Amino acid sequence: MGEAAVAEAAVAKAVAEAAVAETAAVAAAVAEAGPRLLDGGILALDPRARAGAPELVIAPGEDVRAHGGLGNLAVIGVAFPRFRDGRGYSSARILRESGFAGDVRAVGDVTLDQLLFLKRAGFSSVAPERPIDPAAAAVALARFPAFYQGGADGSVPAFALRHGTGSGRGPAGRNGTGHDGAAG
Amino acid sequence: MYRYDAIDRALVDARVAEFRDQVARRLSGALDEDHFKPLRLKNGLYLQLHAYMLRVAIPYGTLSSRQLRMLAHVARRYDRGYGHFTTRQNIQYNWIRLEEAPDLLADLASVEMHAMQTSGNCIRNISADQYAGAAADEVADPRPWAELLRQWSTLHPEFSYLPRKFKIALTGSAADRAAIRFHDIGLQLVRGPDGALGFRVFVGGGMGRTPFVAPLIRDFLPAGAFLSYMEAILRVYNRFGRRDNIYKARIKILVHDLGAEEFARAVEAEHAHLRTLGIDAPEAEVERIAAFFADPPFETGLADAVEDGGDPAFAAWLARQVEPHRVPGYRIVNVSLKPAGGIPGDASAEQMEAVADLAERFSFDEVRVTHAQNLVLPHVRAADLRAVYEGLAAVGLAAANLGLASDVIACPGLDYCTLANARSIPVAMAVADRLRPREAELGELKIKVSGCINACGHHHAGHIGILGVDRKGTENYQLLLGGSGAEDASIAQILGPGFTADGVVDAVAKVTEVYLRERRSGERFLDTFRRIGAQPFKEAVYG
Ligand code: SF4
Repeated sequence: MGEAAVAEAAVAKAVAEAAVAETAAVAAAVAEAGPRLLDGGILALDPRARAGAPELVIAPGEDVRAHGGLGNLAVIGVAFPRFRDGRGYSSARILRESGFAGDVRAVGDVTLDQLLFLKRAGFSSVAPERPIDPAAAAVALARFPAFYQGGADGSVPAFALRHGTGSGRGPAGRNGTGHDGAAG
Repeated sequence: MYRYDAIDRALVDARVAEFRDQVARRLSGALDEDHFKPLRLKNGLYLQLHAYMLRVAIPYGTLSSRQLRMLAHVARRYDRGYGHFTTRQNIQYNWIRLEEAPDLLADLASVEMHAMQTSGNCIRNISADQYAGAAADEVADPRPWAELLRQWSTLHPEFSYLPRKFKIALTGSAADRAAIRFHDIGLQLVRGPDGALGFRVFVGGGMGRTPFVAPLIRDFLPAGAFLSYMEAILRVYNRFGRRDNIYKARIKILVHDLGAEEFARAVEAEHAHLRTLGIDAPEAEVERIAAFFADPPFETGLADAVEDGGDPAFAAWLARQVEPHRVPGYRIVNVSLKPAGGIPGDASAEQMEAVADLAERFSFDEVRVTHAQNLVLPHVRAADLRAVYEGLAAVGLAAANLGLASDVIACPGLDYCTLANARSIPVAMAVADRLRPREAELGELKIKVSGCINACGHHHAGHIGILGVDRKGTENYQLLLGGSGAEDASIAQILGPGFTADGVVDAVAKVTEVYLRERRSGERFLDTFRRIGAQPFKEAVYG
């Protein structure tokens, strides 16, 4: 590694460390606010969560893009008959990318160990088959100080932390910046 | 080499802590095996025949001396003094205890290594050309792009529960040393008409029950749209890949069923949307990563000649194991992990440490792992070749057989693997022993052995492939001819009825005799087979 690269790496490291500290603080704040239990064993992951049953539940094999006019719904469920079937993660992200700002709920065989992926894919609540302890959920959701990818929960990718840019912010409903941070 | 920053380090440390918690919950019974299994798989831990097997990621096959010494430490401390290098440039340990796995992962993290996503239905460790940054024929270095992919694919929120495992390989040369067209995604770095950097994108290759050579789905992908395009491919796969049948769940089946053109259309449509979402890394990030792969301080004005000093063993090693380097006065050294009597791809802790020492003294601290289960010292001065040779010979690693008959690829097979139908290691060793006396005369001959249809030993891509099957409860071996994992990729064809373990060794010997009889000047085994077809080989084996 050349001297310039060493210097650059040192700068990146300093930026990253500051960013990690900041992200950890945010994560701690979020952890304090939630996750929390709603009626019926529903676990709220972020402030978009709503009480009440979903008006529509999307099955794993269903094309979420085939549904029109979802913007008026308050709660959309995405079914996970088996936790290993990951199609629902794409459905949730597509919903968020299309600007849906209501509650997107994972329904079915979802456990503590999927929560973080679910949240980052844009789910704002889960209705698990077996109850999930909110305290354990808080620990699981706050475990990682940063991620390489932007999330549909508004988390930014590592490269944005490293370079202090706003690019690459994941789609977070209508509030997502969603511009092209690419070189071309 | 890439070095972790605070973010990379924090992520790996958090992952170790998370897994420690998951193991504790499994051991206490709070977590059942059904729900624990995908979690341990994503941390590289398989339950095998005798114990847990841990597969450690070696990102795009690159190691520093310090990391290789840690792999030796792991072999000693947690295993039985050995490690097994795999066909995906990783290392496996076969005798791991579940309770100790979190400590092992913490040890790895201390040298910026991990076992994340080395198994399970997720994007696996990225593989690449082992000569990256050293090859004389390189268009561009694939390692920065491989590191970008490593980061993008790690703990991806959308692609951690895919229909099946997903493997990506890159090369920066037209000569394909990474078998890219047998991967789910194969990427070849190229220069566009205006000199800009981009990729040829192949999707849907693979081995297993239904082998395919990946078709080209994008002729030139500009480098700036790299990650969003990968995301588009993965999203199409995650949404539409089959999940009803484990044997039809790889992306190759989706690409085949839709047809490459229709699949490409679906990807392009998704990409038109995704590329507006800021998924692609900014140029500053690509430059940050690329800076880690800048040239080491090569000396200039070195003498380029190599003297063998009249030593025939050294001369043979030079001719076989040493390749040209793009910088005059340097060479690429291939270290054979296929010594006579050795298990293909195995290395002892002492051997790993010896190679780490040689890398530190003679190769700017760098070691590579190849998909053919060998090691590489990528940047050795011509003047140091003798010292490297002697250092390797001292630990039994100076075999001169790269690409020859005894450089056999073999999966672990029935000796370790729960899925195996037959043993592959003993058959590979017997074939190597039989052909070794004539291997110089036979020239380039790639023999690959798998213990079941899953094809971890890449038998479909062997000039000669051997596949272990179960026939009425006894081990049986099929013989396949004519495969290639290189730029002239092809799938080997089954020659005829199967054999016993001894029978298949005899059959391999017979097909090599046909080659020696029929070959024209300059033809490799593969060339002769392609010219004359299977019939003469069938007659020799079954006639
Ligand atoms: S090919 Fe089969 S036997 Fe060999 S390692 Fe893979 S799964 Fe196991």
